[in-house]
Amino acid sequence: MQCDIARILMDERLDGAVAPGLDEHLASCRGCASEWSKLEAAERLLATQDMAEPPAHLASRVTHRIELESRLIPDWQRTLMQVALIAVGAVLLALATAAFVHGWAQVLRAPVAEGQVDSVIHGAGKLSGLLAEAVGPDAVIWPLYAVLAVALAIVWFGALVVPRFAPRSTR
Amino acid sequence: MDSETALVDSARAGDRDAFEQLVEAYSKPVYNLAFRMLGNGRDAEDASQEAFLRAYRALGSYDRSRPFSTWLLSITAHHCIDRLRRRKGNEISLDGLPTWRWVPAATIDPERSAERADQADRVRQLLDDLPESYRLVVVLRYWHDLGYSEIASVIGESESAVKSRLHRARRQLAAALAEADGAIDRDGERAPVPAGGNSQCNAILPAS
Repeated sequence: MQCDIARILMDERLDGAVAPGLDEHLASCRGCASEWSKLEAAERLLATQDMAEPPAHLASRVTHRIELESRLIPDWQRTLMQVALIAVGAVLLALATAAFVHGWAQVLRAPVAEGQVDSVIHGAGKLSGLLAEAVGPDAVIWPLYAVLAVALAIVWFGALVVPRFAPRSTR
Repeated sequence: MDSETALVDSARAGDRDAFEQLVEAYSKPVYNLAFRMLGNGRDAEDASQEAFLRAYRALGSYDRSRPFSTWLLSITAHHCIDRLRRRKGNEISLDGLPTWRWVPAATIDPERSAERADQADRVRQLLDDLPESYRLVVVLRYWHDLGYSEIASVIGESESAVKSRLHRARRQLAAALAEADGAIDRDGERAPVPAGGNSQCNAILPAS
């Protein structure tokens, strides 16, 4: 028997199969006998080690992590929601700004009667009263609402955008 | 349909209790594979948890024609290989870290337990010295008792590749063991055990 064949048979014997002719070869070949002896020693050492025992809490920790994970919104959904909210905030900001500019433009373009100017000068009426008389009540309320809307839009936009670019916790 | 298939089907349908039962059933093989691949209990526990989580997330893509155990071990093996590669990338010097010695439990025969600890250390050292791909086939063959075709399925290689790797791995183990034993014979004592803990430890104390 050639040594190459003997080596294949050694593996087969280690796997539990019969290896016909191997013992005869080992008895006559010092190199293969030495190799077999080393393989057997390694085999014996490996056989001393049982399966490692997992810690008792392993299963409960896995379950706990799955529980935590199931409560989290998936990353792609979170990103989609943020992008959608940022888009809504941006549209709101644009509309509010347009309303603000449009409202004041209306006020400034409105004609004011001479007598009304006199009453303002003499403190007979307030500015809102003057504007109300000049351009109607809607035109006065418009810019005030617009200012409020712009402020809200800025807060909305800031609340969405700033946390997104803030550094994340490493924990 | 056997009980395992039923559990897997229930888990796939979103039954978390069913998955929990699968975790209970497979925690030992998954942990053992991670432990033998990574060489220490802390990493093995982290890797086992991660492997189960990955399996849970991937349940939808699980192919029912494949044994669940093979699929799960495959996920674990790939995760361990990833960790070992990351570990290589972040290798740091262990010189500054404290070394540890094994302390036998009082209830066990001290001589016997010292011998077991010595064997465990030697096995861990031998496995650590093997290339990852060799280590994987050795662990799957010797501890998980898988045949060549099952190992091939776990690692995604051909049976002949598995056979060839195991052949080389056995010779490398045998040569390393003979060399270590030769060193013992020459020096009259065993080479020092590297830092990193021990599977059979009952307690670990800093070396005095």
